[in-house]
Amino acid sequence: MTEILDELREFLDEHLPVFQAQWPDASSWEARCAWQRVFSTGGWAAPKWPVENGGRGVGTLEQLAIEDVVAEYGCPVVPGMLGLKNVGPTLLAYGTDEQKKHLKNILTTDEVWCQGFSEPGSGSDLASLRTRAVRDGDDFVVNGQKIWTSNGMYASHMELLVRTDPEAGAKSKHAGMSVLLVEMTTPGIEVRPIRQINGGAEFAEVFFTDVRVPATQLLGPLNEGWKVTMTTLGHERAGVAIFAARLEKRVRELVAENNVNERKEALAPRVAEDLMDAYVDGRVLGMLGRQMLARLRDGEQPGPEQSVIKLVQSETSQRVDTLGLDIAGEEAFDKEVGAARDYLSGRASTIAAGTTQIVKNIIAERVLGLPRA
Amino acid sequence: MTSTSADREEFRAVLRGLLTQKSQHETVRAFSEGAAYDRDLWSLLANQTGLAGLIIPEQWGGQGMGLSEAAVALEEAARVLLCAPLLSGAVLAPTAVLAAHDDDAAAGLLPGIADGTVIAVVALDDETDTEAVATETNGTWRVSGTKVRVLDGPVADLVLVVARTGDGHGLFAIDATADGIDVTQTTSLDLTRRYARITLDNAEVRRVGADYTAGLAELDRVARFAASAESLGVAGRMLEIAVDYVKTREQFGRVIGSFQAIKHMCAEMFVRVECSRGAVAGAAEILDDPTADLAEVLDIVTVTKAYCSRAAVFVAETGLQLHGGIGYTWEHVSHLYLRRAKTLELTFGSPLELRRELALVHGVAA
Repeated sequence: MTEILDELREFLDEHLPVFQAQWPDASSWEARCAWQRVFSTGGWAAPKWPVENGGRGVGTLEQLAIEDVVAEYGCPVVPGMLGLKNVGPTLLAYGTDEQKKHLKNILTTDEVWCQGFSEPGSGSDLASLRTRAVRDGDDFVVNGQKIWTSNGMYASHMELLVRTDPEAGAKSKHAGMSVLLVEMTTPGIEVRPIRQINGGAEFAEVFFTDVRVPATQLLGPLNEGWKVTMTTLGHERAGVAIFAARLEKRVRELVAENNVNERKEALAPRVAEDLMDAYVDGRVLGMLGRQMLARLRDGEQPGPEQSVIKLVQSETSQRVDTLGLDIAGEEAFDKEVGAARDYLSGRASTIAAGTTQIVKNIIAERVLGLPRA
Repeated sequence: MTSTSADREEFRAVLRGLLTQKSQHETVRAFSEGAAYDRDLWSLLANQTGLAGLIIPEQWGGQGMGLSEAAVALEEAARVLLCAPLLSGAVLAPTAVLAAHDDDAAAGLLPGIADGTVIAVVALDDETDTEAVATETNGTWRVSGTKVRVLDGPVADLVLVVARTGDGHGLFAIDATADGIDVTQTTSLDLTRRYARITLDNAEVRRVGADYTAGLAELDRVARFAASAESLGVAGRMLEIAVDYVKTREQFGRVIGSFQAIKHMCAEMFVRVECSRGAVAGAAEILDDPTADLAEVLDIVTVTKAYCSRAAVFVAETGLQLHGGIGYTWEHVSHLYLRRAKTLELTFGSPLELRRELALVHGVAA
């Protein structure tokens, strides 16, 4: 493990300064694409992919360690994350040789992928989705609407989950769905940005009206799209351990920043108490994350601790956001940056990837065995 | 000696089987209503599982295990509210002696503790505004003072007393029946444990080791950890009891566990149990690591105690609530778990005290 990380550091020491000199503002989409093209030459952009596909064939733990080093160096966020981490592994698992040709373009940002999963009527209850694809000659004809599509404004392609057998869906919600690979320039697709509470627009709504998708673009078996999609989601489960580590680090930093020697006046006692409360929870979460990683290292499958970490991480991080804004006080009012921006952005953490309430239902039903209604 | 996690799980399974059989509800209930300590049970546990000498080095008759194994024993004992001096006699007392780094004293005191024939307890807390004082005349040490909330004091054969000396703190040993010592049982919130008030009036004692300042700090760390492991046991068992109940209790024609409000309470209990489990495992690991930085060890142990003891109270309160009216009755087991959890929360540093301590250590409060 240390060897590969040393190699990564060597790569970053050599290439990052050159890139930064060329792109002083590394936050733009173009700059981030440029960085991904540099980064992927070392096999670093998708390290879990096989070597022959431009990856390094490493495991989840190595990937998490690589992400840590990348964060430490302050590298730009690569724009093709969904293609690299979600769509790519699914193509590798289910794609035909023709479909696997997308992999190379995903690495180079010649193709940017998004995923069409959530719908206005299917958020936490994803399996209830209604966007339909009907076979007509050599094509599927798609009608419906997707929402909360990350990178939808920039994407050239979409991994689209649709219902192909509505009757199967009546028996089991997970049956009768399929995955299609769709070019976003296909006639009948309309993309609109969704403006979020923090002012940004990282998500889109995507409308499909009689969109014709060649049947060759079916990924995996017909009507088994749920299984295909779950492989994708399953790939990123271990990532919560990294969220745990990041929150622990953030809480420790917030505590260090509020040392009495660093401030004009000491924190109000109540705020200091809340801060230590968050510190306790943050450090406990850190321990939980390290144990999850150790179990993965021993070859064990992650268990219910990933739901536990998801719940505690999202709620604790919101408390830290609130504390940050409390501590900043009036100074944070006149600008939507820093603490205020974090506070607004953080409201997503208990909604995205399963709301807190849904995760609690899942724990109660699947882990504790309580009966469904 | 170190053990693997597989060894520890095997140890856990053996203990769970034995403790479930030996500490049934009727036994705990009888003790809570005033029945005497069952010394035969303690001898049996000492002989069959080596529980009394678990963390005592092999050279002094023990098993030579670390705190990871002690955590398993404490968790399992707390799950069944075992009415035996495990925390006091098998964890705190040996830790107190070992932390004094006095091989002669250890050789004299520990073998009896390890084989279960001697029940030793640690007298730490002083009565408010006074501190036990030790004085030496012609090589003989004497202690005067009043120690309160001495866990398992009423059953002790040997009392280890922390007292102020001229230049710091010292650890002293005295037989519970010696001249000048009075042990009086006090009432306790936790009905499954007995506490004592111990008064020493110029009582002759044996000094264990030299200056005990560092020893006291170590004892503090282990006490916080041990209370965390017990809190985990209490919380884990209470969760099981509550989940079993809501799966069978029916109202409005359906089991109450199918109501989402109930599910969310159970999920919140589960989250706290799992976080406590993670914290206890993490704390055990760093405590058993001789190369670990002591400031970090203290930080982790303090965080763990602050978290786990509060979590156990939450789980016990929520578990009681889930039982509805039956949970509020004297006959139901809920209040025994709640009493244990609340007592653990308040002893060895309450979450409030520990958060203040953390705020001071990290310079967030002056």
